[in-house]
Amino acid sequence: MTAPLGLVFFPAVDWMISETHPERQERLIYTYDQIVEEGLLDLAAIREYKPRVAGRRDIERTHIVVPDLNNIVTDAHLVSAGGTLTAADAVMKGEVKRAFALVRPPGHHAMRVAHGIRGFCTINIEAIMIDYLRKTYGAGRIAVVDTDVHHGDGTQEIFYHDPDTLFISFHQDGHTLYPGSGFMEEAGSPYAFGATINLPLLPETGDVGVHLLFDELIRPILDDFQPDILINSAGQDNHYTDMLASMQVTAQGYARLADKLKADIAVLEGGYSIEAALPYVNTGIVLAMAGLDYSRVLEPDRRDLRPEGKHTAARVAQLVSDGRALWSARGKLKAEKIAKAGSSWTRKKPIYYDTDGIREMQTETAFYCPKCPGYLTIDSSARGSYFGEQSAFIAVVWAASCPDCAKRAYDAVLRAKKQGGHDYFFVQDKAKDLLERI
Amino acid sequence: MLLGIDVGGTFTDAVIIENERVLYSAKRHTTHGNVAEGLLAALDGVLEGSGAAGKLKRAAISTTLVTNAIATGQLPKVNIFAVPGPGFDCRKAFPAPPVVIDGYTDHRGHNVHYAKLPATAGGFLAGAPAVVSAKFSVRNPESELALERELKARGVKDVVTGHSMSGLLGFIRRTNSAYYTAATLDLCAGFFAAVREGLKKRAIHAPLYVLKADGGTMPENLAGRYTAETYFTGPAASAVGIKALVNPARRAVSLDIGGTTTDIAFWEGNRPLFGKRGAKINGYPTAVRALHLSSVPVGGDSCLKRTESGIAIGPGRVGPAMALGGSVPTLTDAFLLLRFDDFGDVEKARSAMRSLARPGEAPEAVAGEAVRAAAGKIVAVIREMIEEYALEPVYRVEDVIKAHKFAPELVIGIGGAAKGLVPEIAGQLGLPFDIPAAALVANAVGAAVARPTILGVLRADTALGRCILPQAAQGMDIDRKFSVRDGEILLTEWLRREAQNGGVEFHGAETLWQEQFPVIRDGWQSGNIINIAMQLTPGVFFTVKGAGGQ
Ligand SMILES: [Zn+2]
Ligand SMILES: [Zn+2]
Repeated sequence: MTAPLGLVFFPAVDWMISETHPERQERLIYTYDQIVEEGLLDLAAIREYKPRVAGRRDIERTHIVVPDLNNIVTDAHLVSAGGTLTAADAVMKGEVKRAFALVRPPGHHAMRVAHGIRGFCTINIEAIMIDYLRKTYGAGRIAVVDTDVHHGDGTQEIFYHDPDTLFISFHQDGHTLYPGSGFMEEAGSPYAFGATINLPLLPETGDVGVHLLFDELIRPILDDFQPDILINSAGQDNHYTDMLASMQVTAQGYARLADKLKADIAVLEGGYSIEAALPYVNTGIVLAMAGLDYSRVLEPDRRDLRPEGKHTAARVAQLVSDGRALWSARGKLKAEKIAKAGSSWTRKKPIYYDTDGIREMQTETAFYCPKCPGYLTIDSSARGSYFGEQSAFIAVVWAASCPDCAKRAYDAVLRAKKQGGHDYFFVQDKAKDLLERI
Repeated sequence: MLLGIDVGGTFTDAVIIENERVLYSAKRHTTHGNVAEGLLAALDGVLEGSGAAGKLKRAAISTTLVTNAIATGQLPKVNIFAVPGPGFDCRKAFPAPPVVIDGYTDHRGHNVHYAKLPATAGGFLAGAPAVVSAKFSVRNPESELALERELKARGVKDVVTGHSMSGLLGFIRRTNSAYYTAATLDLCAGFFAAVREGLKKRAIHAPLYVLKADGGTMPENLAGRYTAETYFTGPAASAVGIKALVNPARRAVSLDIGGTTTDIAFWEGNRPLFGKRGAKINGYPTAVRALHLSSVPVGGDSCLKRTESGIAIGPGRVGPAMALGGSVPTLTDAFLLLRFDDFGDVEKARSAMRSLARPGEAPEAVAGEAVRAAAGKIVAVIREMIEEYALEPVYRVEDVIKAHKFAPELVIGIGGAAKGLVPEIAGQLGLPFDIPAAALVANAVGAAVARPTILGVLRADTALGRCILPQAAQGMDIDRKFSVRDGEILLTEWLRREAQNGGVEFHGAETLWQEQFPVIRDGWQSGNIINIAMQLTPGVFFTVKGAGGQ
């Protein structure tokens, strides 16, 4: 029998980043209390799953950890990533209609190359799930809607060259909040232009603004893109009690959003108001995804909630109009960007790992090919407190890269190795489903 | 001397045990209309000529009284007063529609909005027992206590509160436990009075105990208050019986194979494994703690049919066996023909098997096939249970990483049809087996020797400076240095008092689980939250080596 909702609930009550870090052992304890007290795990509409443990291959399909996985990836990360794979399997095998991986630690700030922990994230659990869905089930078009208050910069970066993964993130404006990115100009590399949609909202935007943005822009884009699988990066720090951000979304706002979105798979991201928000937001999302009545889920204390101002509404209206313009012109803009780029496209970017105090500089070059999606090279060097300096030269072979491009990618790494100047050399070969150390 | 009586679906068994031996045993038909009648008949059977009446130290019963009353729907009206607050709409979650009362206590135990009985609720009071249940009452029972006071002031005699049912989270489970308790209070009071009266008439003055679903016993006075705990005690009785008769030191699967069903339980480290959150009663989840078990509809009375693919077992019970005068071939006929059993008419069993034989097939071959097929059905369920157990959610990283599959090393069989099936089941699993002597009265043995159990829960919140024993509705102020150890001392004291109040000898308590995590405010640790669950150490007074005497 197909249950309406599969729930992978994993609070990892024995894992934390540090004693007083927000990503700590009891983050989901109050949520656990609420869910068990409400009796949600006893409902016929909800089937609870135990997370499995992700393997090295699952992670290296997505990430290049320098110098090696074991340096930063703990058992907790393997279980939370495994939880998303369990959720994906439950949906793809038809055991459940939708699934919610209510797991921690989170992942949406983790990028393709990882030297340490940034934004509380070490590995990107959604990205790992998406790559797994592609590899295992041949999933084609995938859309991700990131409803965390922080820009999902890691997920954006990993799929920045992929026209088949539509990444939509709304978040508090990067001028006012970590990680400082997520503006509409960041719309994908030339070949994937328009497959990244960033919607920076002003602080104090609440249910009204978020739902307007969803109804007027996000829903029409999703309807147009027609994803085979729809994923929700279900961060909960847009809540009005969250201390890391300044938004005004309520548990009802989140639950109604989950109800409208009807994601196939939701994955918990941030949310650090662990007592006042998470128990109610999660109850609301679980009920909404299970197709049950969530209208009675209300925070007991709504004193801190203020009405939304005119300025936040004006920003929403602006985003709707700019977003529509970008979406409808994306084909034309894409052709222009490709023509301008020619045979390759390069970007240099500094990456700061706030949690670990690591500074990384990357030069990423996408090489284009008339026969295939081409390949990618990454030149990364990082300076961190515990390893001093380390650098890596990496090539990525896409699953659909032609044999010539695959050879060029390997050659590029061999050449870099011969030249010296880097500590580690990798080829992430998605066609062979292998991370090779050269 | 200890007296044990097990009221089963078909038979009521009574045993008297002394010096680790079953001295006397008796079997009578269960009298469903008036359970006490059959119970006392079995009692007379076991007392006859034993001269044991005056020497009995304890009388313990395991009864299907509550199970049957619930199964047949003979329950009186109960008024449920629920305080769900905001959250899941629970109005259809209970066996009867509730009167919903405003109010809310949050997960830390803050009474956000006090519950108050509206004046218009008067129409519901009329004489019926009442349940009062509030969300998070185990964090702060004030709302339930206030409503209980108001209802009693309005003349309601029996009020059952959610927090008294269990100290654990699960509002709907506690409410359902309270409902089934409230609905069976009168029934049990009448039954216990009849049994007590019957014992007195036979000059038995030993204290009376009743078996619970968790395999422990409780004294009569507590049994009269926590009646839902006596639901589903048959399998619990058989588990304690196995504990007493075999005391499995290894990981084991135990099978209680009766006339209609086979109950399967798992054992680890001398103890049966428990279900995760509590038993379901009539499809409703409750807080009644019960063993992790499955029932398969295969037993000695299961009928046999010839199908295209082979011999099919059941479904349904058609017994008795043809060898015992029945009209349809059953598993028992197969056992008899294969000499696993020695009662009944072998020739009738042979013709039963012959009626299922293909041309030229020997009746013994048919019997063999039937036994293999029945065993195969049970083995399939055992394998499923092992898979399911491995998939039970856990919430700690360590528990996922270090998870192991339950791998039984022994098969234990009790019940009337154990001899016929257990060797084949063990063979299919590639494991050794054990069918203890006295296996036929294992349930009564279990009731006789089961120790009393009481489970208590404590929650301390040093950031709020409060500690609570929810079941007792007992709160106290604590300081910031309050530790898990302090909690265990408090809880042990409470268990000792509860035991004393019930007239139970305190023989030690054990911690079932405990957790502690910090409360962080603005990057600063403002206190700890501590949750502890402890119980009187369960088990049996002594192991029983088998049958002696009559
Ligand atoms: Zn966030
Ligand atoms: Zn190519």
